[in-house]
Amino acid sequence: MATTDPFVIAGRTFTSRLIVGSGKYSSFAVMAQAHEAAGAEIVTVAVRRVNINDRSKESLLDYIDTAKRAILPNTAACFTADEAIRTARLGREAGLSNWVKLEVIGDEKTLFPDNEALLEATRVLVKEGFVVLPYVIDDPVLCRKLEDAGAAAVMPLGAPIGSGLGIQNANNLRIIKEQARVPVIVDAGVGTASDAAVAMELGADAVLMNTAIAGAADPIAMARAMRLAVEAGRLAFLAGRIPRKMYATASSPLEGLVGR
Amino acid sequence: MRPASATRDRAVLRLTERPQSEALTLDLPEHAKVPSAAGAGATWRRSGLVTITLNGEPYQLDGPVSVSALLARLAIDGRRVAVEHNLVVVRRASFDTTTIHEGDTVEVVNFVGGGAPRR
Repeated sequence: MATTDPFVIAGRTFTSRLIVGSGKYSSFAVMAQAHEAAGAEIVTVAVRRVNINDRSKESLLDYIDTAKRAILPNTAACFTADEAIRTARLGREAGLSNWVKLEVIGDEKTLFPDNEALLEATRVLVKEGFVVLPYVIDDPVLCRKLEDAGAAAVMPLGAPIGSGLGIQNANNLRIIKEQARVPVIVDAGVGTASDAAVAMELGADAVLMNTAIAGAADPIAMARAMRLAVEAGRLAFLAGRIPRKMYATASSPLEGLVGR
Repeated sequence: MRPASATRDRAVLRLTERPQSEALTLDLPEHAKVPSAAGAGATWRRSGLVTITLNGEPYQLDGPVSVSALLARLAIDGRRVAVEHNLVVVRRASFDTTTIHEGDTVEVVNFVGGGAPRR
């Protein structure tokens, strides 16, 4: 399947459709094992100030195999377009990659994106040559605007970040996918493997998650479950499911029944 | 190569807004520091101590330093970080030639674990 069904963003081809985060793990070692179990080829990382007073901490990058996995800097927790743009520029310099998972948060409680600021930051960063992957509300109109602004993919949420609620508006995701000319990556909201499978069955090109793996009781086992779910969901989407019906349709022939 | 940006423009504005007496004391070698007739009241900082804002906190240096020298002083591996100087990202190739002066703002960042963080 990997060779016949590649996943392409901005001209770069991946075989894995599961993109993972790097936050909230109990240790970097567990994170590295989970990334391996997930088969992830893209790992998103946050950009933060170096602790000037305590340089003893291990570096995250020592635990990400960059030969296997691309680093995707993100602008998590940025609340204005300016903050996100500054962070994206720093991420590019630190990671020597012009890809950015663009987040501009508009609300503390829901962590929903600020639509206008997100669009503005996308325009600026695209002009500066970034490959912009915006985290966006599951709004088909906004997704279209982001695509028109030059986003390399759109990343609608399935549910609020870290909520584990699963796909809340399957219909919107289906519409977003139907109209999109760039990859659609469901970013945030997955709680367990079936949620990831549902996202892929709806036609998403990939799923991005962090909490569902890092927060699981056994992150490494959950990473493997997610990998299988994403593969299964993708296969089911490509295979074409049967239509839903109200009543039963017998699978066995009705002729030749004993005693009739 | 990168287009001039809003933040870059703002950084330029910041620099030009800085009191001239301060800006003048920094780059010039000692022999070049000639108080002008009009600048009789100007104070020259001969001690060389400069205070910058480093990652949001005041930080004191013995004098203007290059980005490379600052990172060395902080025991930070320059290959693992990105540096912003007065709101403009400093390319790694320019770490040696970019000088940090009195009153400058410097951000040193690196990658940390993150994904879709629960805050």
